[in-house]
Amino acid sequence: MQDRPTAPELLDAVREFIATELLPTVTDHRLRFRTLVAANLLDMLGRELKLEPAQLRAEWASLDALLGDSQPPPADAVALTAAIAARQAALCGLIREGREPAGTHGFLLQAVRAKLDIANPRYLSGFEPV
Amino acid sequence: MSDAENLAAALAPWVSEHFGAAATIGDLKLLAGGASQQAWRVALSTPERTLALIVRRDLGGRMFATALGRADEFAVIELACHAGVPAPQPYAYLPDLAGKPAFVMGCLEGETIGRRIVRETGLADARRALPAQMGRALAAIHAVPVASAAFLPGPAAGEGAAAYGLRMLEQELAGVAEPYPAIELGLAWLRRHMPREAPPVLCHGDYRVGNVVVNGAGLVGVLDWEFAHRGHPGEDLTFGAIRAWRFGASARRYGGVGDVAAFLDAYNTARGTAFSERELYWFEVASNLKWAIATVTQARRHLSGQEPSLELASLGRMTAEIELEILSLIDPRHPRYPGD
Repeated sequence: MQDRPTAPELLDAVREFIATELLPTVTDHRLRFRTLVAANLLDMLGRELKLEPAQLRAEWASLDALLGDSQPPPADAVALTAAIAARQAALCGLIREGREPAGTHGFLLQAVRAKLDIANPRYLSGFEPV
Repeated sequence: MSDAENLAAALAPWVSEHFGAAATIGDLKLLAGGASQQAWRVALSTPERTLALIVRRDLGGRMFATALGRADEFAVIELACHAGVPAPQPYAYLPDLAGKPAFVMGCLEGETIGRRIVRETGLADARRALPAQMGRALAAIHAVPVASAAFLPGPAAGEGAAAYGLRMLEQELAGVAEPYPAIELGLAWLRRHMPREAPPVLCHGDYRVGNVVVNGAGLVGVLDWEFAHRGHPGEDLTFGAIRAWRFGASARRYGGVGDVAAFLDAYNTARGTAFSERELYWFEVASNLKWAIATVTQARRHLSGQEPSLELASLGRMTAEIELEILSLIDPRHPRYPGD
């Protein structure tokens, strides 16, 4: 176990440093843009640390249902991510062959929303079909 | 010597030849630069006038397999200008500018940043004029005799232009190791709903707000020709209308500035065509897929070490935004989904 600050606390500290100390000193237009990108990516990482474990378990269960193939999820996060990627690749193969399971669109909508909960929750909450 | 000094020295012989020995090179400013190419703004004075040039220079490596080299890009700009398309004046292709291929063109003055074009209060008149202006300019691009663009990539013998566009998308995604099932589902939708084919035209390939120069009165010129190819007109007719290029102003569906109808009407009138939004829906889905796949492949340029860049890396996490739009568009419950 690591001492405090925890990983989310460290991310917050770095983000604060960038936003309040570094950014005001950056005058170059393009460097300023990249500095803002960096701060946003740290925000994203903070959300990922918080939300990803539950998301991965939920995605595994949804894939069980979609593929009709119930399997116990790998216990550690790295193995679980790799196993989900393998199942996604299998789903890609089915889609390319034109025989994706019923419910694929709904599953993918859920998976994409989960990605946006981390990558850009504001985009997700403001999204309206137009 | 700095990069700028090197470039000025390399450019000097051409400047003397073209503008006379009394012409002098002033400030050089790097406008955009990555590992694969650079764009410089070069200030120039002659005894009669001052002017600004843009130098685009290859550094090796291409953004996409389908992107043009500088020689072909320059040739496309010449074609477009000759056809009366508002575009920067092409001056010269320089095969060896300090060891790299480059070309020189005129610098158009105005705004290019999409977010500002969509939001700035001083550009309200420009926004009103822009959709029709961009429709007319696109009609002029598509009116270039396609035989004169035979050097550009395009459909294989016997292949339809829309089918070619789809094949290019499949090919780009096939080069990516990781699975993208939402993108795959979008491609499957395209295969199941193939549109009516049309003869290929000179396509700009990246026609949108953000790649045009705009002043208070609207369109000044069309930039960024490196994705030009021969393709279905529906590609250019929809790329500038996808959500990603509305810069947050999602309800103004043409580029975040106005109506798709104003853009299409102007295009159809100038070209004598009758493209409808309904007919172009397939291409709107395809254009979203093109940009989604581009974010994936751009992020791979960072991940492969080819061009380490925070911006390219961050594009990898933008893919999901476009995937959401793709899933929304291919859902029969979408308000604009074309009925059977």
